[in-house]
Amino acid sequence: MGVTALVLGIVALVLGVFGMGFPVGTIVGILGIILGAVGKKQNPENGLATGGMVCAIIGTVLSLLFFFACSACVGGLASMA
Amino acid sequence: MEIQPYGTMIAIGIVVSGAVGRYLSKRFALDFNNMILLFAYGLSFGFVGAKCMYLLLNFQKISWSSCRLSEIIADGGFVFYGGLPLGALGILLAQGIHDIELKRYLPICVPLLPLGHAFGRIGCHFAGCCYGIAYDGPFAVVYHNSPITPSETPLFPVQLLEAALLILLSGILLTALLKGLRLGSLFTLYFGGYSSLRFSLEFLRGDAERGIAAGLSTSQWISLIILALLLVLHTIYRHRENSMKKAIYFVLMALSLLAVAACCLRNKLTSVLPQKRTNDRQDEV
Repeated sequence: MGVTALVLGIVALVLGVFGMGFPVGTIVGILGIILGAVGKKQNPENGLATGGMVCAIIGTVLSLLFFFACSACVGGLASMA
Repeated sequence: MEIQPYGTMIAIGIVVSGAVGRYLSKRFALDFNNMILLFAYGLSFGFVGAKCMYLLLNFQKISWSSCRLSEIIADGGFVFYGGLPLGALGILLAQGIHDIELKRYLPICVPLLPLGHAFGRIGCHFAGCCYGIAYDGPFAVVYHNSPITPSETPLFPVQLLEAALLILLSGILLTALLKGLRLGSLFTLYFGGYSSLRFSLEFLRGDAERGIAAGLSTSQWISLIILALLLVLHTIYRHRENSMKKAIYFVLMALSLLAVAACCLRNKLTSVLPQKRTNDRQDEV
């Protein structure tokens, strides 16, 4: 569980850092957070789960930072419609 | 890659709510990992529900054939009232899968809802959606070159006012929680308080394309339904705890005061602007 959380967290972090987070990075990040929390519940000393959860939280937050604002895309879609 | 203010405020809202949730889970000797699970499920399902309702309300206005589905999903806004039921479903799912004692954790979650929502509203202010009526007074907001907001026109900062009232509501709920108010009364305070302020502030909104029926907006109708349900519940459970009655009275008082204040303010201000947008998108949260 901890290893999976760490992998997902790193993936979310990488996607978030390179601004390609939304929506894939957000989904992966949330999965990493859930698995990290479950891993920590099973074993509070599980460092991998903690690390995975932290990476996933940061990745998810970064993905949301680059989430398109309402105004940014409406104009683009309006020109396409 | 540009950092978008809307997503930034959502992220900040989640982080701040998480920090307060961590403090409360320590205060009430609860496992913060369970809080994180409830957060993750509730927010994920809530955002999906909010997005689905937004797409449903704008179904006929979206050009489904000319835009990619990913663009349609990533664009536009959310409808808060659409997120609530699905968010609740997510929390029930978390309870079932991870065996979480909801009765102990839900009271802590209630004050966090309006707190996170307040940051979303600040994001709306930066994005220009959910704008207010024309207004030429203190704290008026003017947008420049906005594709969704009337440009070069002073508008009432209704998003910021709602954010401030949501933070106030969160403070009231937090105080009530720390004073030992039970879950039923907390829910009454939250749903009644939010429905009251949402119903009232809708009178100060200038984006008429969000949907009006019989003189009231979609959110106003939903708010009235919620308030009616609370009154029914109060009638059914009137012989139970006194604090529930006090919560109901507080809500009715808040509704009366806010609605009257909003109507008076609207009458004093100029009328709703003619819409300047080239399309009829709406970005309600």
